[in-house]
Amino acid sequence: MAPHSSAVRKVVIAIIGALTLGLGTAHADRGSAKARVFAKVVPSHPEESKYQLRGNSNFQFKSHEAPQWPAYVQTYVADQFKVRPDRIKVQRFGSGKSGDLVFGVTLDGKNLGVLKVYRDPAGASGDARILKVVNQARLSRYKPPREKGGIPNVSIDNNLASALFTEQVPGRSIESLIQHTPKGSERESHMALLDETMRSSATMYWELHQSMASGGKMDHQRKQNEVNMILAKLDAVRALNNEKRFMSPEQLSKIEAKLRNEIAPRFIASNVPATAFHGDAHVGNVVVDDNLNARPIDVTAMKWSLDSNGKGTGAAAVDVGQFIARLYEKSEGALSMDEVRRLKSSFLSEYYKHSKTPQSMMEPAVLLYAVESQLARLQFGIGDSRGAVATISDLLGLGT
Amino acid sequence: MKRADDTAPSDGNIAGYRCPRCASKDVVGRRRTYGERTIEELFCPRCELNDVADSDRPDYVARLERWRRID
Repeated sequence: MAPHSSAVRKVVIAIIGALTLGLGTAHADRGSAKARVFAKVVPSHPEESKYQLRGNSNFQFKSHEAPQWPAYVQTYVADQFKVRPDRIKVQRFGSGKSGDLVFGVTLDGKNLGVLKVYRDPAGASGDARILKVVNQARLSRYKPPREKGGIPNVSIDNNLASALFTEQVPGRSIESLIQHTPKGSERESHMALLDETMRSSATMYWELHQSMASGGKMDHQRKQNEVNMILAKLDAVRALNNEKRFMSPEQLSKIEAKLRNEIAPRFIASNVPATAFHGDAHVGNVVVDDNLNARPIDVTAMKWSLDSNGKGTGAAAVDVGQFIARLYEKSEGALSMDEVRRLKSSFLSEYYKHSKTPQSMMEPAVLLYAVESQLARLQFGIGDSRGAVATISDLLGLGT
Repeated sequence: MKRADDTAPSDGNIAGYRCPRCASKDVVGRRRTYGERTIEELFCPRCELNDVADSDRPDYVARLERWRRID
């Protein structure tokens, strides 16, 4: 017996050793993946919260001066913060051909904040109100950028606009991490890192949905209203499909039958809780730090989930559905379909691990909002229509 | 049809939207960003008015303002 036991013990030790070595290697790989992707992240300034725009001031943006805007904002900010202009750097995010103007502001090479100039004069006050509601909920994971004042009088080409200065959430968007997925031997460790970002995002959204639930069920009429809006979108896509042929009429009929006869009635019959949602949940609107803690940015769409008293009225599934559907969209060209399914699974498993609402109850709503987000792509001509059709088919299990 | 376990209908939303045609405050909406482009959809379930504010179009702000409550 003794030699046999000794042999078994040796084998067991060898197996444990190999496993430990394997795990150690996996950790080391993930560690090096983290070091690689967060190497160039600009940290927040140590006194970042001290720098707020609270004074009474004005700023006029003129389109013909667009190339000079960063320099003008630099002078303005330096004046407001009473620091030498050469210590301030301003970078414009995006080309500004459409939508709002966004500027990143640093002091001595460290992040001070983001100045967002809304074309909508009510945009800044709306966002400030939403941030206040979220702040009052004292959430530990769903932490949008802190509000730090703004510019009271601002215009774009003489049209009244509005501006808000917020913290710049340090880290990288998950979208940028997906887009920079390496090929070759580093790919698996990067995928493991992306899995962690999915779990972190799921926990973040779950906390919002759980903590800001109104305590009641989602209003029956509200659910019916949501369904009517989504089915109206289906009509718009059908009309466009006759002209552009995104898919065969038979395929569209299958999608319509599934939504109209199966998923929508199940959603209306479900007792999902009424809560707040982010509303524009996608990997481009989640920033992770080097510990992979996820934080949301761009909370404007939360307005569609809050009543006039700041109480949640919507479905958590708006975020869950959109996040998974837009994961396909945002991964196009960077990840394979199997890799997208893997990340989707990591996100959903983590979300439902925490959620008090069972997956079976939430699923119809999740599918409805997921498909809706892709119908919107077809309706408004966003990206490759074949990608939107493939995503809908995969979500509904219709095959290609 | 209302059920006993439903929450009371909300008194509008935090952004103060109301339907420009029938003045209902039960407006449903979406706001999605695609890179720099923002598309905001507004829908009145009562009179079925549908509207889209698209930041690629010059009437983006006017479309949003049209749906804002004037008390």
